[in-house]
Amino acid sequence: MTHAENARAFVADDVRAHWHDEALWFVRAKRDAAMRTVPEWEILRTRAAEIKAHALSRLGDYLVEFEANATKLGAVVHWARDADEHNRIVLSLLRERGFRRVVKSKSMLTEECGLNPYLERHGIEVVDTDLGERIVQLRREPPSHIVLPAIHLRKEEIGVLFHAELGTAAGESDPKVLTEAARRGLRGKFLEAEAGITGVNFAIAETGGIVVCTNEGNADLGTSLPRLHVACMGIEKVIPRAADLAVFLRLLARSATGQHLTTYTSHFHGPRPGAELHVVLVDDGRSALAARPAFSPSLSCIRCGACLNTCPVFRRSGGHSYETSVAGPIGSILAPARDPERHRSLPLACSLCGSCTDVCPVRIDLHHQLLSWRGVLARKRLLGDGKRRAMQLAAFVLARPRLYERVARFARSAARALPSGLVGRLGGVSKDRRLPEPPRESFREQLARRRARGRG
Amino acid sequence: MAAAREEILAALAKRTMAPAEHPGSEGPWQSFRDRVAIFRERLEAAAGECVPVADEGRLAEAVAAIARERSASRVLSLVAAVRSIGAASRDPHDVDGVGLAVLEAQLGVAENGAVWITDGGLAPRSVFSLPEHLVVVLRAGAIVDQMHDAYARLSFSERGFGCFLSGPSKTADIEQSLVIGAHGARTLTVLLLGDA
Ligand code: SF4
Repeated sequence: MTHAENARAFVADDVRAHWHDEALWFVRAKRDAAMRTVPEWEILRTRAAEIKAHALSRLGDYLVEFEANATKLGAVVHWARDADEHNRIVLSLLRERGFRRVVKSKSMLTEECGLNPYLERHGIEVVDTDLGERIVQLRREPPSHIVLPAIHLRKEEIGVLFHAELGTAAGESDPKVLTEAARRGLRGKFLEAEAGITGVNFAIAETGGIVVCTNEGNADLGTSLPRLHVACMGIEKVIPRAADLAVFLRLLARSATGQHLTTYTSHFHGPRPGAELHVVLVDDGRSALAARPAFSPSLSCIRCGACLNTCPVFRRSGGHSYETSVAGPIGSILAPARDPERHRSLPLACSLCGSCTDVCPVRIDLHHQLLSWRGVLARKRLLGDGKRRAMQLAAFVLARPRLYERVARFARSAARALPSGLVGRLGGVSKDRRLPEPPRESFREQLARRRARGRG
Repeated sequence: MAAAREEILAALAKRTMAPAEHPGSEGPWQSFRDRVAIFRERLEAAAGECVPVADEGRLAEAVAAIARERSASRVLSLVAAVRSIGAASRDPHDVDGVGLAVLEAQLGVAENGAVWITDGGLAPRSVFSLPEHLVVVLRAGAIVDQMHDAYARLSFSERGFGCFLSGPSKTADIEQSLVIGAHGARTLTVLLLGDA
């Protein structure tokens, strides 16, 4: 299904769609307030972009340096070319030890790889421990947002879910009560888990350490109790030095939720005594993306979610409309890189307003990349014939000033004569659009008239 | 496995990304006239509490008051001046049931109200997240302006665990309404030494 088709279902529930829009805009406002407390914010963004550009330009070297230092500290580093190889590595780590009970904290990478269904198919119990992720796991659906996994749900729906799954009272929908029920349920899971899987926010080449950020403390619980910690990361997550963390951490939580820092910002250097730490480095299309200069800056993404929160299309269409593990503007750049055919409607789910580019803490030129994708898809003939013909026609007219003038004059009078809702019948994204009131005169006509008057 | 490593590195070596310099770590970075006041304000914004304590001699008393208030009967202390109540083994699971853990911070960060704590090999790591309540002892003089100054003071040359902790565990995953005490500590109190 295309993004527009999926979005239609989302906006059909008017109350929910408005709530979603406003809730995310509220997060954007909190981000703005937090940003204003840092006078050097723009300098930080530039620094972050420069550090990432540097790190990506020498990614192979930094991965090797990270591997050497992590190994020295007693961690074991694995490499995976794709999702399947990643999943097999994680499963064999569990199988070799006879482990069947796993707690997992948030990791978009494992979402991308489909790790949960894979492990479940092989008889492993995987419990997502981030509250939002637990909610969507119990509903057997994917998260709809990289930072706020259950933002598409209302508290009443979660109340109904928890009543069925966790035995809370019927009709109970107080977030405090529901959170407490989840806490109680998950305590047991943490205490009996044999392995903890986490994502990685940053891996430090210079020290061989990894940093994991959560607000709930679930990554800390999930790694301090079981004897095995498996940390899964995309290869683009490595940064050169520990001091670079200052730049990224000052930006990350403020951009994500408007907090000054995530509650638990945990630095793991080697396994804890008596336990094991395994780090899985996953490529899965990243090295190929690094080879495409037009799109490689998207590898700098630190997954803060700010571009989703600010995007007028995301706010009004919901994360599931994108049918990708990472939705919103950044997801619409990453997904076509992996499968242009399947995700061809995503670069069109964008008004080119540029708000994403304005908020991105690592200065990814998101809307430019989305526009570039349209060009790539058009050349691959993936945009649909209607769009292509319309563009060819427009190019023909725009290249011929006299013809353009005549067409424009006709369009102005036609637009005045026709009902403004007509354009909606063209379907697609024009469905909810209305024609603006056209001007009586074109710029050229005005200019000609004024000149004539000036002379006379 | 080795094949995967070589293939990924070969693919990265082939790619044509423009070389870019590392920008270094020099500021201009934010500084505050009254670091302690900003630290307090940001810690409270992160739902933590800050209690000034005149000197080390008063710590035990301050912790006892908090333990009473939180009805914590088992207290696990990693701070020399405060005694533990109810023994704990080295098993991380044994921390379950600890009402209050008392930790020592090396650093505080004014801009975000966070404290830096490490396991120092003294106790199981679960002591940061499993107890119901946390008390962190911090010297007012150990508060730095921002994260750049914090990292300049930290070293990661050895095996170990360290964490910037800003306030108690929290979530806003249900309709964006903030709930304190998601999985980890339900409260976090910083005892600020030498600021009374
Ligand atoms: S692209 Fe930028 S704004 Fe969007 S999630 Fe990534 S870092 Fe955040």
